[in-house]
Amino acid sequence: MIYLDNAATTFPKPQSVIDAVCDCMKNYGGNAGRGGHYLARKSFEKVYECREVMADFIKADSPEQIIFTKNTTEAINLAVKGIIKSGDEIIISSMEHNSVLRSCISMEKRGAKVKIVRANHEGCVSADDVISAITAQTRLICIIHASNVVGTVNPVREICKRAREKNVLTLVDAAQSGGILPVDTSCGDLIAFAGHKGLYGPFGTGVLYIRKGLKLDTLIEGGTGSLSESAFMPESLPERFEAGTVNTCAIAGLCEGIKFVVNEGVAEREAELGAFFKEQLSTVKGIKLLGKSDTAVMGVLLKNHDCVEVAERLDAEYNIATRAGLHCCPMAHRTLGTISSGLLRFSAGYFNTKDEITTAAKALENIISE
Amino acid sequence: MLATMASITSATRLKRHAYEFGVYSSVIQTPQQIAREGCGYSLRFDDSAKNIVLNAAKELGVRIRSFYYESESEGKKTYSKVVE
Repeated sequence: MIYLDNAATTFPKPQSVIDAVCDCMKNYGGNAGRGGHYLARKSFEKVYECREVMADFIKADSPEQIIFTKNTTEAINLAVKGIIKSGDEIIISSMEHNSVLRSCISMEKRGAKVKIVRANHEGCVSADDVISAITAQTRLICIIHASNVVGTVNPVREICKRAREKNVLTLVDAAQSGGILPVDTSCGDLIAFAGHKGLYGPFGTGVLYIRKGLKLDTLIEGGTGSLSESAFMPESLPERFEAGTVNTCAIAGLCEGIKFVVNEGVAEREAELGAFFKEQLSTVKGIKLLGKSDTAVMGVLLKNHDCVEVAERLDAEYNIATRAGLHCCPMAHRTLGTISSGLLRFSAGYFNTKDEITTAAKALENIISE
Repeated sequence: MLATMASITSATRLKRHAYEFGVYSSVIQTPQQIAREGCGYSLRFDDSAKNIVLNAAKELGVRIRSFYYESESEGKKTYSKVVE
């Protein structure tokens, strides 16, 4: 199969990731941070190593600021619900994924207000528009870094810098940019990552970076392996936000995934494939490439064809995996004018080849020219 | 000697930082008799390294709750708190 659905999850995973997961399951699967025996310590060391590797990767001050979650959505929920109180205002862009939209809208029931800043026709939000939307009640700005629908990249560094000058916090959804674009702590006060996408880790891994000194309420409570006599969650990070057993084997894989991204030049490879993909699709008649495709995510509007039916034919007849529809992003599709039609999304990853991309562009041309 | 801490993350971080100053240590679960609020972790190291460990903790911003001398007599371990 030609797998061009890497924005949903990257596939295949590097062998080092697979080996690390298997090694953990076979050889040292104790419960990290619970008890003092060798296997528990070894598991904890591996989880801590991943925390260190991730902290280095995004230039965080210390590993404690890296919180492991099960995915980006959980990281976003933790950030939003941990920060927002009644009376607060949240600014989001019109390109946000449902993970941001739904978690923010749910805060309206708790007395918060959500303000949506509209992106332009390419899916890009203006930093000026975001900053001028700030009021005395604004507590948090949530912005998607790279669109999961059309690959447009937003100016998160500029927004973060200017928001800090006004004492407003920023939460960046880096699900589609972590590992693919430079993302570091200058991008946001809180940054949510997907472990299983651009960081090439296994499913069930996500990360929330929390800027030093920020106080958040907990999303869930439970055992932390520490301060067991207290009925309250500890204040110390990361324990405060990691109640219950962590996904050690997957985190062991994530650790190798991040190393792979750093050592193998994944960002450069994806940039090269993205540019090539854009070029190939530009020659296909009867389609329109929407947005900016700054990453290797291509949102294709099909004239006179149902995008889901075309995706089905690509799968069944050409063995090509894509994703069609609204991509859990109805606001983005309204912004782009594709809420009724949806889009066909191609997303390349490190393991794709230029031949595969050429084959996919030809297959698309064949289908729509019939 | 033991330096008791609230979390295994703090203990591990301090272990790694102390190693940079030549102090070899290990992370252990804090013995129940001195675990003030239950299920803590401690760093075990040679008594002579106490000040180095303390300074390393200050550099990191890691809070050490207490230091304890460890001793063993007739197969039984005892811990005596270091009074500053």
